[in-house]
Amino acid sequence: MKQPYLICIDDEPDVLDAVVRDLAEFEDTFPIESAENAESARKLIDELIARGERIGIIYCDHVMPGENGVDLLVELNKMEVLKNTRKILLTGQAGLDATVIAVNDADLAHYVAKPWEKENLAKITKAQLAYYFVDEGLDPQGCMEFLDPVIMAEAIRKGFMTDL
Amino acid sequence: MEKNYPDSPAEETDKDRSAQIDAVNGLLTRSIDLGIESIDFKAGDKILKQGEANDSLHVILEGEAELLRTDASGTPISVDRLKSGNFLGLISFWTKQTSFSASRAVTDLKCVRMRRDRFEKLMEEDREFNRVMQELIISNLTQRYRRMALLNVEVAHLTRDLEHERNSLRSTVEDLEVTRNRLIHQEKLATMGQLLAGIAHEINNPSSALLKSVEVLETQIPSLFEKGAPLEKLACEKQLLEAGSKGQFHSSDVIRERMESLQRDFPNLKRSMVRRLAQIEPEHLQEVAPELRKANRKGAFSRVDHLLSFFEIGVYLRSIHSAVGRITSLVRSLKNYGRTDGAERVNVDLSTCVEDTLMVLNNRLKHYRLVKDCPPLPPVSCHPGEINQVLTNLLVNACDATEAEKEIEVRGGRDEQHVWISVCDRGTGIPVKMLDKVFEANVTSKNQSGEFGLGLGLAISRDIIHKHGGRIEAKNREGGGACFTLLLPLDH
Repeated sequence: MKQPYLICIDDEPDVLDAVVRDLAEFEDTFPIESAENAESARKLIDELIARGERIGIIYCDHVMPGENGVDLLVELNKMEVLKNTRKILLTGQAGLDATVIAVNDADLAHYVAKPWEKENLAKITKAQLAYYFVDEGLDPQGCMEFLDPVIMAEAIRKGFMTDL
Repeated sequence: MEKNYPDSPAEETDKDRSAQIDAVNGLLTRSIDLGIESIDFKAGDKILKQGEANDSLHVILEGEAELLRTDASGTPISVDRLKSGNFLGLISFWTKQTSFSASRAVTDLKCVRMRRDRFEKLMEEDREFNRVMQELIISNLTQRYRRMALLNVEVAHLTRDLEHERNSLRSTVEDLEVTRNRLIHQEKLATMGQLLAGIAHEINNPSSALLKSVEVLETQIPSLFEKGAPLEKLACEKQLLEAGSKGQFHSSDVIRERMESLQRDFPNLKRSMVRRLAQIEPEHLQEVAPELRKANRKGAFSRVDHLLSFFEIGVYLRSIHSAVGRITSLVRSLKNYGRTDGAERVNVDLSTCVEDTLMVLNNRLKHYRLVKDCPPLPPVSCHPGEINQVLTNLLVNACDATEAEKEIEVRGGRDEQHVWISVCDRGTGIPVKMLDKVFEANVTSKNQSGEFGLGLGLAISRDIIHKHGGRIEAKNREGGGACFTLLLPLDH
């Protein structure tokens, strides 16, 4: 089974590099792709969807030239194929109003404030991947080490995996 | 306040006065046979009361009395002064209504007094008396009327003077407002300057330590690879270290392309390793190509991993160096930005003020397309902190007027007598009827954002520039938008 992708979007190259670097342990199982702005992010996502790939998590900065992160996430949330994709704001500057819109209209899964800690980011990624697997009904065999064990245990207790 | 009642000689005709005096004298000489009593009052005596009925007619022979009207608050106000030849209580007597005013002796008074029945009898029976009384009554009334008319003129003059005073007070209050705003702003500026200086100092120390550390590392680590040094033989590692310290972060597209190509060439490499390799410039990748092929064949990646570590040491040393450079610049700009050198002016090239302000406002400005054309300029004597505030004001206004991604232009230059800086936008421009008022206090096209130290308003900006002996101008541009230019005189 093709594993879902992790997408990172940020307009500052050094920040983008830092995020991707901190997610390195996941990359060999869940491929990572990045983009510097909303437009190239859309192009990237369309390409991946066209290739039949799944997108598990989108990490998005808010303040970017052109379209901002919250607006992008709201638009992406309208795509049926991205319904279960976990949308995460990873930002230093999203005010309350923007965050509320993200929660309400983009189905925001998590908010990570910059600067983040690598361990914290890894923990969040494992949790969000777990939710994605459960929602999409994906078989977690072979990558359990990358999925939050508590969430997975709870899901299994509720009958997840009985049909797999 | 002194009241100027029209003085008899100035305002009343001699004829009136002498006629009255004659009449009064006539009355006096006949008082006995007319049966009219004389009555004296001492200074300060009250004669008639306001609001009372009055059945006697008094005529003043000698002395002065005053009429007092008490207002709603109970204060008696002097409304007229009466002298010899004037009646007291004429109107209340004649109209049989209650007295409009009270009367009081100012000096000792000599009067004659006629009671109503006596008066009516005399009016009926004594033709001479009747004639004299009528003339006296009419001349009293016309006198009073003239005095009232002149008082009205006086009132008009006073009202006009009051209006002038009020206008000048109003404009003084406005000046005070502006001064007060300026003082508050100076306070803010001083406080901000202190805060910034404090922060800058705090940041400077660890940032200097960082810079020093990274500079040492950048020398010492490469020196480990030199001839005679422990890592002399690691030629490949040395190359990669150097490559890393000269490299830069690449865009996602470039990385993706390189990753795709590397994955084609070396399909057994893990994706995370491929990503790391993609950071290396293709020409340096030649160095490690043999190792990559070996790893790809044998599946042993630890050697490649070590090589990549050397590359990354170089990259991250460079990254620290560049980040510290940014911190240093920012701190310097912050310190300059909030400079309050007190009363002293300093000679400053205004283009550095532009640089500092742009850096401090970078976060706001990055949403727009900034066009900057500001060469080094001859220094002028100024308060750079205040100039920075004006530039901030103009730039923040330009941002507020501009849509995202549109242009904001900042230009600078000099002519024979001035250096100038202009900030231009492609917004909606300044409404024509506001053009000559745009620098006045309370003229605004947006809500007060109340940001600390920012957006203080064009009125204060103009104040600051005028204080510097310069001027600031606003105009609309062809093709839409507005341009604000400040000019400071060159010293000679």
